[in-house]
Amino acid sequence: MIKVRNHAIPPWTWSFLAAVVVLVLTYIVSGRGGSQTITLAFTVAPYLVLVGLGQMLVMSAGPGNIDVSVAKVFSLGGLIAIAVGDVTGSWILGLGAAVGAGFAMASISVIAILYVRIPPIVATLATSLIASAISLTLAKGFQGSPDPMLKGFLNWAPLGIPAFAIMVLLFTLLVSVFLKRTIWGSQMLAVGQARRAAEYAGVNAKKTMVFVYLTCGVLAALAGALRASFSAPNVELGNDYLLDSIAVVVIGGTLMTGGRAVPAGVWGGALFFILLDGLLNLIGWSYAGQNVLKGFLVLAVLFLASGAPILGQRASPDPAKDEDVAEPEVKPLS
Amino acid sequence: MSTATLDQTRLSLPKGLARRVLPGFLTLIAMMLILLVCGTIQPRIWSQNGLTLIMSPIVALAIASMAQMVMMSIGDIDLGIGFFVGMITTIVATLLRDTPILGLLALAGSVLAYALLGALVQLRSVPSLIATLGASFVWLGMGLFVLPVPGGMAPDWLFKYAFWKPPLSIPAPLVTMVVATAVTWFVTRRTGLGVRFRSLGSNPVALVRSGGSLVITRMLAYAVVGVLGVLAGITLTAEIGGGDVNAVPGYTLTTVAAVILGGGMFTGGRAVAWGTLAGAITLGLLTVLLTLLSLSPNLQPAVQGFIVIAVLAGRLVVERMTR
Amino acid sequence: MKNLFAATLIAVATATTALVSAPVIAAEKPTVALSNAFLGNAWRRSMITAFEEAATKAEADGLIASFQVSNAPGENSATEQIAQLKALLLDEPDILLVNPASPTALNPTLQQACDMGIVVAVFDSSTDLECVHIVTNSFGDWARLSTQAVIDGIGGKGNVIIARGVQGSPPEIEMYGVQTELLKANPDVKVVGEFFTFCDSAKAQEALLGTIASLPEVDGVIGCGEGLGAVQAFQTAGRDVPVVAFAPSGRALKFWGEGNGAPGSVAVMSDPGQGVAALFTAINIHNGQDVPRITIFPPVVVSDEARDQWIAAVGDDEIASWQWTQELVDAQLKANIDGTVADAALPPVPVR
Repeated sequence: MIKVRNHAIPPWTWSFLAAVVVLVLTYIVSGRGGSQTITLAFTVAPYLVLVGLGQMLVMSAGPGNIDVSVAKVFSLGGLIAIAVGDVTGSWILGLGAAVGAGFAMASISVIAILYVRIPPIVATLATSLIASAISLTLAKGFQGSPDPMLKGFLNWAPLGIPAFAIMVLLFTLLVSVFLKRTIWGSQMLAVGQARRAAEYAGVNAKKTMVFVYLTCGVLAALAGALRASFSAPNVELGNDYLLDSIAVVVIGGTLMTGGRAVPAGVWGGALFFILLDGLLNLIGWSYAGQNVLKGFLVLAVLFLASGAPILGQRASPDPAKDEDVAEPEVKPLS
Repeated sequence: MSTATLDQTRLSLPKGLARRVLPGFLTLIAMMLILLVCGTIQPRIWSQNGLTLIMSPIVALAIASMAQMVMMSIGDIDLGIGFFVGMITTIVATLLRDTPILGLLALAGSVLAYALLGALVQLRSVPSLIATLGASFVWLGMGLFVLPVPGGMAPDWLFKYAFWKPPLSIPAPLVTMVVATAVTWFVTRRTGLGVRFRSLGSNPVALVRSGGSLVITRMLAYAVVGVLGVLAGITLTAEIGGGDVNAVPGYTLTTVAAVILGGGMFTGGRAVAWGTLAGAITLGLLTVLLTLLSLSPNLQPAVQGFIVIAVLAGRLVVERMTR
Repeated sequence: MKNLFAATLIAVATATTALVSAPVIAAEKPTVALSNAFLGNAWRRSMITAFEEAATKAEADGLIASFQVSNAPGENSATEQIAQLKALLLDEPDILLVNPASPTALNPTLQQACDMGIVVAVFDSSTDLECVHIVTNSFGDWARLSTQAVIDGIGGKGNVIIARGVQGSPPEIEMYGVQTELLKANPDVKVVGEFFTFCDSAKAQEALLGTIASLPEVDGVIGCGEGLGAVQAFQTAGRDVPVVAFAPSGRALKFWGEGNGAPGSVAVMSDPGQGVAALFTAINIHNGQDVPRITIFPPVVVSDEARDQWIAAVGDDEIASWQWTQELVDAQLKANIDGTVADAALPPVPVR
């Protein structure tokens, strides 16, 4: 699947390049920082990367697949992990409970998508509303604080290398190997490229859908649980993670139309976003200016990193459109 | 019994038409049900004043949903419409009021920006979702430049519109929504332009073979989205009396839900103006319903979510029965 | 044509006014509706909890006939709140209390409410609308108290960061004005960074982690209640913890009590009990008392000494609030009329 690619440059290059440019600019602007800027970026990035990896799996499962519930599931995971951890006295049980909550929320999405046949964006929107209702109910009279040991681990950076970031890096590698080297992985991307064709080839597309959405929900809740342990649980904790997770996945080179997943790019995208926020804060631009610049930068990265050559014709319509042609429901043009 | 007669009418319709019309029709029924429940709890709704009260906040949502519908008919999604509409309110409440010519230029520029966004999406095969997401940061920033603090003042003619009471005790918001929907319906379903939009969504190869330009068609479609976004912004300014770029970030997802409720598809090729109107009103009335029911506030979002799932599940059941 | 419409409009308006104001003249117990823009953060939840407690009591005491609390769905969306307000207007309550999503966007809707003869009180915000009463905290006082505490905490000289509140909100602008003024008066205090953190602890933490390595020594963070996240960011980076302004939430107060946050830190925030203050103020207006259009109530300040007492009274995810009663509100209103707000007695620290 990956071999079909027609460039020599791997698709995640652009996001890392952008991150490095921002990093250099940060050094130039502040004239200080050294390696700590990188250390701290790697301390914050893993949470966004975890959510991003889940989002990436969902997006690469074909056109129209997206999970807009990650933000609320993230917050819910955080609240549940801390609450359960506080009651039982064990942060492991807390994380387990968060994983369970993520699984349950994603199950709602899966049922709505596969059995009620609601388009993913609306199905996950409904899930997000339900997750937010549970969070609000939990938050009333909420008691509990993060476990000091887990918090200590998340802050632990021997020799300036955050240990938690290493764990997430290893996990990213695992996802990468899974996608490239296992039958399951290739089947998943096959579904993403052309669902109907994959089904004719004997791939169970339903199973793939169940897998990607459940993984995404679990990762979002787990990331939320860890993020809450890093600082403090909060109903609004996840709010920024929805748009950011989508953005870092796409900036990282994953195709929105499905069929190409780039786990390494999620790291590049996340680091780019985090460093960019830091740089913009540092320059002290007005919030208005920050937004305009951020928007134009995202568009610029898209302009450079997209699949088509900069000059010349678009080779062929999107895979997405190809699939539409295959879809029998398309009515004749009047 | 009633379903049996429904079956027959459905079967006598061409399948494509049934598929296109049925979802919106069911949403229309859901809308009526919600309106009836609201009216039972609060009979004061049944008057020109009552209907105007509960309908007027929905007008901007309905027009923004039309924009999203056009976007989805070409197979794209707009994740920036919420901040775009917000930005338009800031322009309307400042520039358009103080220096109308400059204001009009700014509004035209916004539409042009949308068309350029369409060109970017087409020429660089950038996914629309992420391009519009990136653009949404720009709209937010621009809106903050124009009006850093919510404020400004709607132009006088807009205030006059806000207090307009049409004859025959027809609620004014309904008139605006129906006119906007009718125009959108006409453009997307009765003109050559609409045919090209839909074929861009469903079968771009056919569009190229028939001599259409992908770039120009997409730019035109985005421009139409921009125009509808501007209209939504103008009606919203009338509702909030001023400008506020942060007024409606929630429109982004709500409009998508409205189009889906109305029978639209992500894969493009479908233009369902009337269905989208029903979808937008249904979603808008939910707030009224939730307020009138005075449910536990913590549960409100869950109820909202379940109603959306229920409406769509109901459609599935009816679709199965008509097969 | 236009005149005809205007005439009908006025006729309708007066008709409804007459209808509604009839019971007012009879001085019956008022019905109360509270419109809240959203429920997404701890402050709003504490506000609603405090209000529900006080309103239930007021209903039992026979001060009000009934009350209804309504939280608009969505994320602090002005249009959702407009829809909600219009549904509430159909009920024609006697008193409408509003915690708005936007200082201006609700104006046309609130004007309609006024035209119907409803007593409208907006709290925790401001508005230009003449017919509306405003019950609010002095955001200037909030900024003065917390900024002065941080400046004193760092000994009047050193480097500070300004963590600003909700971009574009009138309170933020007022607070920033006071902050810059105080900093001008203390030329030895140097501002080395300025971010928008929306008074949110998690956002402040991320913003600081992203910039801290590029900043020189920081002695204090001037802000509006994001101390918890700020201190955590400095701890992560292995830096000396600065003097900060915490939010008076149970969690932040406990964190502070455990020895986090440099000495001299403070916890200040606008009072979630404002909803209750607005309720009693509006009841007075409804009963025909003369009340200034804008009444100022004090923010919640938690000092080092009173901290442990507050910790016992505030839940982890709750913001400390003053427990207003009718007598306390009356005293505060009198102080507002006499212009002695600064000297008015504060309510006692609540006991649970």
